[in-house]
Amino acid sequence: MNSASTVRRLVASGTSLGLSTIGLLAFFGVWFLASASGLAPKRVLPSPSDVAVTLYQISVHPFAGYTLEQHLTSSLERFLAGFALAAAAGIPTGLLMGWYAPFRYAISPFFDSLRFVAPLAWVPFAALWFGTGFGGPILIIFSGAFAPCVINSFRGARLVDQHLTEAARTLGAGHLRLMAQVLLPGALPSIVAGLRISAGLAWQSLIGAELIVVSSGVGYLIVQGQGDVAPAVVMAGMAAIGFVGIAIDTILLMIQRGILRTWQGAVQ
Amino acid sequence: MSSIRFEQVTRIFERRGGSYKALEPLSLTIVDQEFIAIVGPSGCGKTTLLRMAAGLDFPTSGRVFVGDKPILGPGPDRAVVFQQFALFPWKTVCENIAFGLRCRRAPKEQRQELVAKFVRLMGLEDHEDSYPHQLSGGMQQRVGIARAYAVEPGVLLMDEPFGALDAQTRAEMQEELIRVRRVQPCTVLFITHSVEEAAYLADRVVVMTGRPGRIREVVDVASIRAAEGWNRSPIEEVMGLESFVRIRSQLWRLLRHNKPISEPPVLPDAGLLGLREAS
Repeated sequence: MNSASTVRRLVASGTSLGLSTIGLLAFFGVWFLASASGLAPKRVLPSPSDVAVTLYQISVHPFAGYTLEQHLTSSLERFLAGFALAAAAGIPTGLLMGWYAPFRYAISPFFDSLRFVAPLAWVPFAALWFGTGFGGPILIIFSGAFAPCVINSFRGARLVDQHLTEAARTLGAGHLRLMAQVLLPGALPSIVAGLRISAGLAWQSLIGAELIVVSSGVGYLIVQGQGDVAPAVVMAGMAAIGFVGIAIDTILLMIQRGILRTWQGAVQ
Repeated sequence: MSSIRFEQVTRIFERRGGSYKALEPLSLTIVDQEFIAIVGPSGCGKTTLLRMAAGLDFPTSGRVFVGDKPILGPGPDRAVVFQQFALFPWKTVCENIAFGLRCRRAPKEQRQELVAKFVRLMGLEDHEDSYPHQLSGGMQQRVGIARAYAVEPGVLLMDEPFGALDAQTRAEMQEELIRVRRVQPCTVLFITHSVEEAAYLADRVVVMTGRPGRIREVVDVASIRAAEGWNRSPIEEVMGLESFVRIRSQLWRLLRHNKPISEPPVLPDAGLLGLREAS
């Protein structure tokens, strides 16, 4: 009876939820003990209860000009705008790369090198070109979210059954119709998988952007918390980022499952 | 004039480690309203011929014409029926059939009229709003044929259209094709593995040999069919007729006298190796 087989049995008997709970409890337990025992001083590591209380306080009383809810709202607005823009530009680009080889060859050197440039490297130009209010952060989000949209749409388009594209061509479909009515639906599972990755990167990039260029949002809240030497606020902001991240991913996961169910039923 | 003409057509595929000759210079004319079936072993280039006629592939040398026009790509005068059906899984039966008409920007009324016509003709009345995966293979290929017919092409290119169906459905579809073609005449280039199918459907059967592909013989069936009145009887009776059996045997003999493709190639230095008896 080794522990590995015990773990396997636990997972097999449907206790993965239980294990997750145990993991979370262990994490909070260690954290609590570390701060309660004085091993980690409060100015270095706030206790879980401090963070919880702060989370509540900044939700009710404005911190750095706004309440947590208002900070989150302005972050989410930027996120949605940047993410939507990345999807709207990235999906057609990827499909076109998958469909039309000359376009692929023309764009891929540029694209392949650009996608290694971290979103934060765009901060100076984002501020220079679009300012620090709404446009700047959106460029930064866009630069983080664009590549996975393109790559997954491209892969999806390449995997579409060749007979379908040939059928469409012999029936007289032009490039636009072929992309919209054959490649797009055919690549949908891959595209949605890409959107999930893209959303995660967009949310990460946004917080990075807000640390530097704006005067509202959760990232800004964290910077102000740092300035005020309020580690509990910083950590409350981090917790909020995590929760919203999970919420965004859950929504996209549900959409992805819905699409996969329909799609697999249709395509077998 | 919806004729298809292959003129001294060759096709060489570039592969890793060399090129592969799929077609020897080959000429063939399918006249207007004629039904030509091509039979031959796998790899004899019959599908390559069909793809050239469809404008999905191009000859290495030689030319392919539809009427007097050289084929430069897919066109509204030719429609393809695929072995794998190739229906759009995310579109309903009606949307699939209407696809080609939408591509041609046919006005809504004309589109609805044509879709309804071919839904009726192919017996798809109860499945208009079904999705392809909800239909049996036979029904799916009915949609495939209706979709090709809906654009009213002069030439129908059928690439082993019944190859994925069970024997019973296959016989049913063969009868259907004859019936539909009586209502809606067109030129047909039909690729098949089945000698029976070719003999039953075609006016002329082209027997091809493989590697590289070339025509072995063209067998006229139309005159015998007309003389023996095949089209007046159901398929199972036709297949028992002496005239049918004779044609079928003739086609089989032509195919059998091809070198079987599984036979290993004769080594050029066989004599030196003392393998003369083996070859």
